[in-house]
Amino acid sequence: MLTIGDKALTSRLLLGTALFPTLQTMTDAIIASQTQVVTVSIRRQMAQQNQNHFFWETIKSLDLRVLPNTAGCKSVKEAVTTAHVARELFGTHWIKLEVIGDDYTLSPDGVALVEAARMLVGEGFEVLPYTTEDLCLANRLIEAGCRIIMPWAAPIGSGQGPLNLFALRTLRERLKDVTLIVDAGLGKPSHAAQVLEMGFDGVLLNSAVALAQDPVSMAKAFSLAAQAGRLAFEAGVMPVREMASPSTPTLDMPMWHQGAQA
Amino acid sequence: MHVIVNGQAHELDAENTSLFDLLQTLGLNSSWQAVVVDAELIPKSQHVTFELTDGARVEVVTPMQGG
Repeated sequence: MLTIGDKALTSRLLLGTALFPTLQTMTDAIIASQTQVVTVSIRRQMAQQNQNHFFWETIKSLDLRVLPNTAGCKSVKEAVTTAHVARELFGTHWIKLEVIGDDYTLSPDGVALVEAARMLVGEGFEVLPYTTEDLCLANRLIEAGCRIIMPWAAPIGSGQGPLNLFALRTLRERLKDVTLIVDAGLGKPSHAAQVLEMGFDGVLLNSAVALAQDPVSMAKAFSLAAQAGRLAFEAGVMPVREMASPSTPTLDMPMWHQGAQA
Repeated sequence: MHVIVNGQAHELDAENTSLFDLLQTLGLNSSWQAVVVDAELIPKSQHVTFELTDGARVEVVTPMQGG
Protein backbone atom coordinates (compact mmCIF):
# COMPACT_ATOMS: atom_id res chain seq x y z
CA MET A 1 0.00 0.00 0.00
CA LEU A 2 1.25 3.48 -0.86
CA THR A 3 1.30 5.85 2.10
CA ILE A 4 1.48 9.63 1.90
CA GLY A 5 1.73 11.26 5.29
CA ASP A 6 -0.76 9.39 7.44
CA LYS A 7 -2.94 8.36 4.50
CA ALA A 8 -2.77 4.79 3.16
CA LEU A 9 -3.77 4.61 -0.50
CA THR A 10 -4.90 1.58 -2.46
CA SER A 11 -4.13 3.22 -5.82
CA ARG A 12 -0.53 3.83 -6.83
CA LEU A 13 -1.53 6.29 -9.51
CA LEU A 14 -1.65 10.03 -8.81
CA LEU A 15 -3.26 12.13 -11.52
CA GLY A 16 -2.92 15.75 -12.58
CA THR A 17 -6.01 17.76 -13.45
CA ALA A 18 -4.62 20.06 -16.16
CA LEU A 19 -4.89 20.03 -19.96
CA PHE A 20 -8.13 18.05 -20.21
CA PRO A 21 -10.39 19.18 -23.07
CA THR A 22 -13.39 19.65 -20.74
CA LEU A 23 -14.20 19.45 -17.03
CA GLN A 24 -16.45 16.48 -17.74
CA THR A 25 -13.63 14.59 -19.46
CA MET A 26 -11.36 15.37 -16.52
CA THR A 27 -13.97 14.06 -14.11
CA ASP A 28 -14.58 10.88 -16.10
CA ALA A 29 -10.83 10.29 -16.44
CA ILE A 30 -10.27 10.73 -12.70
CA ILE A 31 -13.00 8.20 -11.97
CA ALA A 32 -11.69 5.75 -14.60
CA SER A 33 -8.16 6.02 -13.21
CA GLN A 34 -9.33 4.99 -9.72
CA THR A 35 -6.85 7.48 -8.32
CA GLN A 36 -7.28 8.78 -4.79
CA VAL A 37 -4.99 11.78 -5.16
CA VAL A 38 -5.14 14.56 -7.75
CA THR A 39 -2.79 17.48 -8.16
CA VAL A 40 -4.11 21.03 -8.27
CA SER A 41 -2.64 24.50 -8.54
CA ILE A 42 -3.54 28.14 -7.98
CA ARG A 43 -4.06 31.16 -10.21
CA ARG A 44 -5.27 34.74 -10.02
CA GLN A 45 -8.93 35.18 -9.20
CA MET A 46 -10.77 37.49 -11.57
CA ALA A 47 -14.09 38.96 -10.46
CA GLN A 48 -16.03 37.86 -13.53
CA GLN A 49 -14.40 34.45 -13.90
CA ASN A 50 -16.42 31.46 -12.74
CA GLN A 51 -14.48 28.71 -14.50
CA ASN A 52 -12.12 28.10 -11.57
CA HIS A 53 -15.05 27.96 -9.18
CA PHE A 54 -16.64 25.17 -11.26
CA PHE A 55 -13.33 23.32 -11.34
CA TRP A 56 -12.95 23.36 -7.58
CA GLU A 57 -16.56 22.42 -6.95
CA THR A 58 -16.05 19.43 -9.27
CA ILE A 59 -12.91 18.29 -7.50
CA LYS A 60 -14.57 18.60 -4.09
CA SER A 61 -17.51 16.50 -5.24
CA LEU A 62 -15.15 13.61 -6.06
CA ASP A 63 -14.04 13.19 -2.44
CA LEU A 64 -10.32 12.82 -3.20
CA ARG A 65 -7.16 13.97 -1.49
CA VAL A 66 -5.64 16.94 -3.26
CA LEU A 67 -1.94 17.53 -3.70
CA PRO A 68 -1.34 21.22 -4.49
CA ASN A 69 1.77 22.06 -6.48
CA THR A 70 4.09 25.04 -6.60
CA ALA A 71 4.29 24.96 -10.40
CA GLY A 72 5.99 27.92 -11.98
CA CYS A 73 7.98 28.89 -8.89
CA LYS A 74 11.60 29.75 -9.54
CA SER A 75 12.84 30.72 -6.10
CA VAL A 76 12.67 29.51 -2.52
CA LYS A 77 10.56 32.52 -1.54
CA GLU A 78 8.02 31.98 -4.34
CA ALA A 79 7.69 28.30 -3.54
CA VAL A 80 7.30 28.83 0.20
CA THR A 81 4.67 31.56 -0.26
CA THR A 82 2.80 29.35 -2.74
CA ALA A 83 2.84 26.50 -0.23
CA HIS A 84 1.39 28.82 2.43
CA VAL A 85 -1.36 29.85 0.03
CA ALA A 86 -2.08 26.24 -0.90
CA ARG A 87 -2.41 25.24 2.74
CA GLU A 88 -4.91 28.03 3.36
CA LEU A 89 -6.83 27.43 0.14
CA PHE A 90 -7.01 23.65 0.07
CA GLY A 91 -6.79 22.88 3.79
CA THR A 92 -3.97 20.39 3.36
CA HIS A 93 -0.37 20.31 4.53
CA TRP A 94 0.64 18.21 1.54
CA ILE A 95 2.65 20.06 -1.07
CA LYS A 96 4.19 18.96 -4.35
CA LEU A 97 7.27 21.15 -4.25
CA GLU A 98 8.51 22.39 -7.61
CA VAL A 99 11.29 24.94 -7.92
CA ILE A 100 12.16 25.30 -11.57
CA GLY A 101 15.74 26.10 -12.50
CA ASP A 102 15.54 26.11 -16.28
CA ASP A 103 12.62 27.21 -18.45
CA TYR A 104 13.56 25.08 -21.43
CA THR A 105 13.85 21.71 -19.70
CA LEU A 106 11.81 22.55 -16.58
CA SER A 107 14.64 21.01 -14.59
CA PRO A 108 14.33 21.41 -10.86
CA ASP A 109 16.77 23.77 -9.13
CA GLY A 110 18.26 21.30 -6.68
CA VAL A 111 19.84 23.83 -4.35
CA ALA A 112 16.69 25.92 -4.01
CA LEU A 113 14.57 22.77 -3.77
CA VAL A 114 16.47 21.51 -0.72
CA GLU A 115 16.31 24.89 1.00
CA ALA A 116 12.57 25.27 0.37
CA ALA A 117 11.93 21.68 1.47
CA ARG A 118 13.78 22.24 4.74
CA MET A 119 11.78 25.37 5.51
CA LEU A 120 8.43 23.78 4.68
CA VAL A 121 9.10 20.55 6.59
CA GLY A 122 9.99 22.77 9.56
CA GLU A 123 6.55 24.36 9.24
CA GLY A 124 4.79 21.00 9.30
CA PHE A 125 4.29 20.40 5.59
CA GLU A 126 4.42 16.93 4.04
CA VAL A 127 6.77 17.84 1.22
CA LEU A 128 6.77 15.81 -1.99
CA PRO A 129 9.63 17.26 -4.01
CA TYR A 130 9.69 17.05 -7.80
CA THR A 131 13.34 16.28 -8.46
CA THR A 132 15.70 14.56 -10.89
CA GLU A 133 16.88 10.97 -10.55
CA ASP A 134 20.09 12.18 -8.84
CA LEU A 135 20.83 10.06 -5.76
CA CYS A 136 22.82 12.67 -3.84
CA LEU A 137 20.14 15.30 -4.34
CA ALA A 138 17.55 12.80 -3.11
CA ASN A 139 19.68 12.21 -0.04
CA ARG A 140 19.81 15.96 0.64
CA LEU A 141 16.04 16.13 0.40
CA ILE A 142 15.70 13.24 2.83
CA GLU A 143 18.08 15.01 5.23
CA ALA A 144 15.84 18.06 4.88
CA GLY A 145 12.94 15.95 6.16
CA CYS A 146 11.21 14.69 3.01
CA ARG A 147 9.69 11.24 3.44
CA ILE A 148 8.73 10.93 -0.20
CA ILE A 149 10.94 11.65 -3.20
CA MET A 150 9.52 12.22 -6.68
CA PRO A 151 12.18 11.74 -9.38
CA TRP A 152 11.30 12.58 -12.95
CA ALA A 153 11.31 9.94 -15.65
CA ALA A 154 11.87 12.55 -18.35
CA PRO A 155 11.15 16.28 -18.75
CA ILE A 156 7.62 17.36 -17.80
CA GLY A 157 5.10 16.82 -20.55
CA SER A 158 7.58 15.13 -22.87
CA GLY A 159 6.04 11.65 -22.66
CA GLN A 160 9.42 10.07 -23.32
CA GLY A 161 9.26 7.59 -20.47
CA PRO A 162 12.18 6.72 -18.18
CA LEU A 163 15.34 8.02 -19.87
CA ASN A 164 17.91 7.07 -17.26
CA LEU A 165 17.04 3.58 -16.10
CA PHE A 166 20.42 3.08 -14.48
CA ALA A 167 19.98 6.11 -12.22
CA LEU A 168 16.38 5.21 -11.37
CA ARG A 169 17.42 1.64 -10.53
CA THR A 170 20.23 2.99 -8.37
CA LEU A 171 17.86 5.33 -6.59
CA ARG A 172 15.49 2.47 -5.80
CA GLU A 173 18.36 0.25 -4.68
CA ARG A 174 19.99 2.87 -2.42
CA LEU A 175 16.78 4.27 -0.90
CA LYS A 176 15.01 1.08 0.04
CA ASP A 177 12.96 2.59 2.86
CA VAL A 178 11.94 5.82 1.16
CA THR A 179 8.69 6.19 -0.75
CA LEU A 180 9.58 6.92 -4.38
CA ILE A 181 6.98 8.20 -6.82
CA VAL A 182 8.02 8.70 -10.43
CA ASP A 183 6.68 12.10 -11.45
CA ALA A 184 6.81 13.62 -14.92
CA GLY A 185 7.74 12.41 -18.36
CA LEU A 186 5.68 9.23 -18.53
CA GLY A 187 3.92 8.91 -21.87
CA LYS A 188 2.20 5.55 -21.99
CA PRO A 189 0.98 2.84 -19.65
CA SER A 190 3.99 0.59 -20.30
CA HIS A 191 6.21 3.34 -18.83
CA ALA A 192 4.18 3.25 -15.62
CA ALA A 193 4.28 -0.54 -15.52
CA GLN A 194 8.03 -0.45 -16.11
CA VAL A 195 8.88 1.75 -13.13
CA LEU A 196 6.46 -0.05 -10.84
CA GLU A 197 8.03 -3.38 -11.85
CA MET A 198 11.33 -1.85 -10.72
CA GLY A 199 9.89 -1.29 -7.26
CA PHE A 200 8.88 2.35 -7.39
CA ASP A 201 5.96 2.99 -5.08
CA GLY A 202 3.79 5.05 -7.39
CA VAL A 203 3.53 7.23 -10.46
CA LEU A 204 2.24 10.76 -10.93
CA LEU A 205 1.19 11.81 -14.41
CA ASN A 206 -1.03 14.24 -16.23
CA SER A 207 -0.25 14.92 -19.90
CA ALA A 208 -0.17 11.24 -20.85
CA VAL A 209 -3.85 10.95 -19.92
CA ALA A 210 -5.12 14.44 -20.68
CA LEU A 211 -3.53 14.61 -24.14
CA ALA A 212 -4.56 11.10 -25.22
CA GLN A 213 -7.14 10.90 -28.00
CA ASP A 214 -9.46 9.25 -25.47
CA PRO A 215 -8.39 10.45 -22.01
CA VAL A 216 -10.93 8.34 -20.15
CA SER A 217 -9.79 5.05 -21.71
CA MET A 218 -6.16 6.07 -21.24
CA ALA A 219 -6.82 6.76 -17.56
CA LYS A 220 -8.14 3.24 -17.19
CA ALA A 221 -5.16 1.86 -19.11
CA PHE A 222 -2.75 3.60 -16.73
CA SER A 223 -4.67 2.28 -13.76
CA LEU A 224 -4.36 -1.28 -15.03
CA ALA A 225 -0.69 -0.76 -15.89
CA ALA A 226 0.06 0.51 -12.40
CA GLN A 227 -1.67 -2.50 -10.88
CA ALA A 228 0.14 -4.89 -13.25
CA GLY A 229 3.51 -3.28 -12.60
CA ARG A 230 3.15 -3.47 -8.84
CA LEU A 231 1.89 -7.04 -8.95
CA ALA A 232 4.87 -8.01 -11.11
CA PHE A 233 7.27 -6.39 -8.64
CA GLU A 234 5.73 -8.26 -5.75
CA ALA A 235 5.76 -11.49 -7.78
CA GLY A 236 9.50 -11.12 -8.40
CA VAL A 237 10.71 -10.61 -11.96
CA MET A 238 13.02 -13.34 -13.29
CA PRO A 239 16.71 -12.56 -13.69
CA VAL A 240 17.91 -11.52 -17.14
CA ARG A 241 20.23 -14.00 -18.87
CA GLU A 242 22.88 -13.29 -21.47
CA MET A 243 22.03 -16.35 -23.58
CA ALA A 244 19.05 -18.50 -24.50
CA SER A 245 17.84 -21.13 -22.09
CA PRO A 246 15.20 -23.60 -23.31
CA SER A 247 11.91 -23.44 -21.54
CA THR A 248 10.68 -26.79 -22.83
CA PRO A 249 12.40 -29.67 -20.97
CA THR A 250 14.95 -31.51 -23.17
CA LEU A 251 14.97 -34.73 -21.14
CA ASP A 252 13.52 -37.80 -22.94
CA MET A 253 13.33 -36.16 -26.33
CA PRO A 254 11.92 -38.54 -29.03
CA MET A 255 14.58 -40.49 -30.92
CA TRP A 256 14.19 -38.77 -34.33
CA HIS A 257 15.60 -35.59 -32.84
CA GLN A 258 19.21 -35.12 -33.76
CA GLY A 259 21.46 -36.05 -30.86
CA ALA A 260 18.75 -37.91 -28.92
CA GLN A 261 20.10 -40.91 -27.02
CA ALA A 262 19.03 -44.37 -28.23
CA MET B 1 -3.69 55.81 -1.81
CA HIS B 2 -3.20 53.34 -4.60
CA VAL B 3 -2.60 49.59 -4.58
CA ILE B 4 -1.98 47.00 -7.29
CA VAL B 5 -4.49 44.13 -7.39
CA ASN B 6 -3.70 41.21 -9.66
CA GLY B 7 -1.53 43.50 -11.74
CA GLN B 8 -4.03 46.37 -12.01
CA ALA B 9 -3.90 49.72 -10.21
CA HIS B 10 -6.72 50.67 -7.84
CA GLU B 11 -7.37 53.81 -5.81
CA LEU B 12 -8.55 53.47 -2.21
CA ASP B 13 -10.11 56.24 -0.14
CA ALA B 14 -8.35 57.05 3.07
CA GLU B 15 -11.09 55.71 5.35
CA ASN B 16 -11.40 52.21 3.89
CA THR B 17 -7.96 50.75 3.68
CA SER B 18 -8.35 47.30 5.19
CA LEU B 19 -7.82 44.27 3.00
CA PHE B 20 -11.41 43.25 3.69
CA ASP B 21 -12.67 46.62 2.39
CA LEU B 22 -10.68 46.25 -0.79
CA LEU B 23 -11.95 42.74 -1.49
CA GLN B 24 -15.55 43.82 -0.86
CA THR B 25 -15.21 46.83 -3.16
CA LEU B 26 -13.84 44.70 -5.99
CA GLY B 27 -16.31 41.86 -5.51
CA LEU B 28 -13.49 39.45 -4.76
CA ASN B 29 -15.16 37.68 -1.87
CA SER B 30 -15.43 34.04 -2.92
CA SER B 31 -15.11 31.41 -0.21
CA TRP B 32 -12.43 29.75 -2.30
CA GLN B 33 -9.73 32.33 -2.53
CA ALA B 34 -6.54 33.28 -0.73
CA VAL B 35 -4.82 36.64 -0.61
CA VAL B 36 -1.15 37.48 -0.74
CA VAL B 37 0.09 41.01 -0.01
CA ASP B 38 3.65 41.89 -0.92
CA ALA B 39 4.51 38.19 -1.33
CA GLU B 40 3.18 37.15 2.10
CA LEU B 41 -0.01 35.18 2.68
CA ILE B 42 -2.56 37.11 4.73
CA PRO B 43 -4.80 34.48 6.39
CA LYS B 44 -8.52 35.08 6.00
CA SER B 45 -8.89 35.61 9.74
CA GLN B 46 -6.72 38.75 9.40
CA HIS B 47 -8.42 40.36 6.39
CA VAL B 48 -10.56 42.70 8.49
CA THR B 49 -7.68 44.01 10.57
CA PHE B 50 -4.99 44.04 7.89
CA GLU B 51 -4.33 47.62 6.77
CA LEU B 52 -3.00 48.15 3.28
CA THR B 53 -0.22 50.62 2.66
CA ASP B 54 0.38 52.82 -0.37
CA GLY B 55 1.79 50.81 -3.26
CA ALA B 56 0.88 47.42 -1.76
CA ARG B 57 0.83 44.57 -4.25
CA VAL B 58 -2.18 42.35 -3.70
CA GLU B 59 -2.68 38.98 -5.37
CA VAL B 60 -6.03 37.21 -5.03
CA VAL B 61 -5.77 33.57 -6.04
CA THR B 62 -8.13 30.64 -6.45
CA PRO B 63 -7.86 26.91 -7.21
CA MET B 64 -7.03 25.89 -10.76
CA GLN B 65 -6.10 22.76 -12.67
CA GLY B 66 -2.53 21.59 -12.14
CA GLY B 67 -0.16 18.74 -12.92
